[in-house]
Amino acid sequence: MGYVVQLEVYQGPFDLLLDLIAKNEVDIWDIPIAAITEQYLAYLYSLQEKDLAIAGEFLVMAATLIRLKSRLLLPQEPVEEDSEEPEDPRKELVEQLLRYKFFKEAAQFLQARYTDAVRYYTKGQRLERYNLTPIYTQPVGDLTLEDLARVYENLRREQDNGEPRVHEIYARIPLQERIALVRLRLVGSPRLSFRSLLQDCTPGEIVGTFLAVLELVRLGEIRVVQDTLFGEISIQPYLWEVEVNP
Amino acid sequence: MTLAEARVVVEGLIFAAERPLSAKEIAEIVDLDKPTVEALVEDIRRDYAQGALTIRLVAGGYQIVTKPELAPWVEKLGRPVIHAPLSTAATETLAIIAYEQPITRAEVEQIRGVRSDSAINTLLERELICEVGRKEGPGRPILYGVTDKFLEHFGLRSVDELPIKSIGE
Repeated sequence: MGYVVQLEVYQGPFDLLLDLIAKNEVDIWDIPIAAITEQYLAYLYSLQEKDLAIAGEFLVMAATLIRLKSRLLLPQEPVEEDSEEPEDPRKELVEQLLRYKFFKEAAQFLQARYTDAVRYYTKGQRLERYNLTPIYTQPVGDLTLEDLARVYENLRREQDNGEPRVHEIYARIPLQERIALVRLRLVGSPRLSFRSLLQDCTPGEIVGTFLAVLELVRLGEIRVVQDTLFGEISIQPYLWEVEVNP
Repeated sequence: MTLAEARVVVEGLIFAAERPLSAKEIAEIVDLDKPTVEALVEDIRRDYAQGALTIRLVAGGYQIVTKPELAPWVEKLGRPVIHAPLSTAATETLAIIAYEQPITRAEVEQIRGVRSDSAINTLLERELICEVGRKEGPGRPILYGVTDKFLEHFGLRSVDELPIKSIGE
């Protein structure tokens, strides 16, 4: 199994369908269901070939399309005299698509507004400096999965103090708990090595701690610094410079 | 208090407030009527023409900000952490909530055709949306709506500034 590169990313089945309709240059009110269904399924198969999990929603839509296709193949019931035109079985889907399309465009509007709005700065915003020197002065290109496994193995061995170890097969490790622990360790320490956080951790806890660190970075509470390539990774609490000045 | 004195106070208030300050709030503090306050703000803004700052109307209030042409310079200082852009999923979810509020998660998911709980969590965390109540019915699901921070984030005066909703018929 190699690494997989994702194909086009769709937000969901509606997004994929709209894209297919646009690519085929067909009228949304007159979708050639057979052709579109075929292309839709082809996309799902291509995901499968790439070992990507297909979200349930995509499969539900596939079923809907196939049902529509079969309904369209059946002969139309004769139109009763007093009734108007028979309802197009595609109508409901088209309405959902148009509804989604509107919000997709509204989201693009918001994104454009955002690009404008961020150009106005208010006073005293927490500004994150980006003048950090680049760490990746040489590409990590040669690093393979095996290298990563070896690093991990070394790390595990380092912690092995020879005592018998109890392996928990299943343990719930709430992320919030790991975050709280990292926060606690950071109290009063201007700089903390990532390695020290992993001391005496089970594999599950290592993963939890790693995720906690990522989450804290995302929340802007800490920053992670590595002075040299493959060097010690240290964690620093973000300095709330703004709050220093009343 | 003369009008000239009031003008100085108004400027100070807008500067000191940590959120956009509405004309109404200012009017109550300086004991003037709203149109007078608006005229004073306009006057201050005109005075700013030569300088670095301007006053923008956002989320229903005034805010003193640097002029957009200064952005490239300010960004040499750094970028605010909150400016991390939202994902497409989160922006779509936000657009739906802005138009359809109050709305439940299930209703958002019906429009998007995919699960949206993580998008909603992100938006809650960034305070762009908030819980506005509970919907009557089974399970009493939470209803969501957009916040003032949403308007500020996108530089909107109010939700009326969103493009008119016209869904094909």
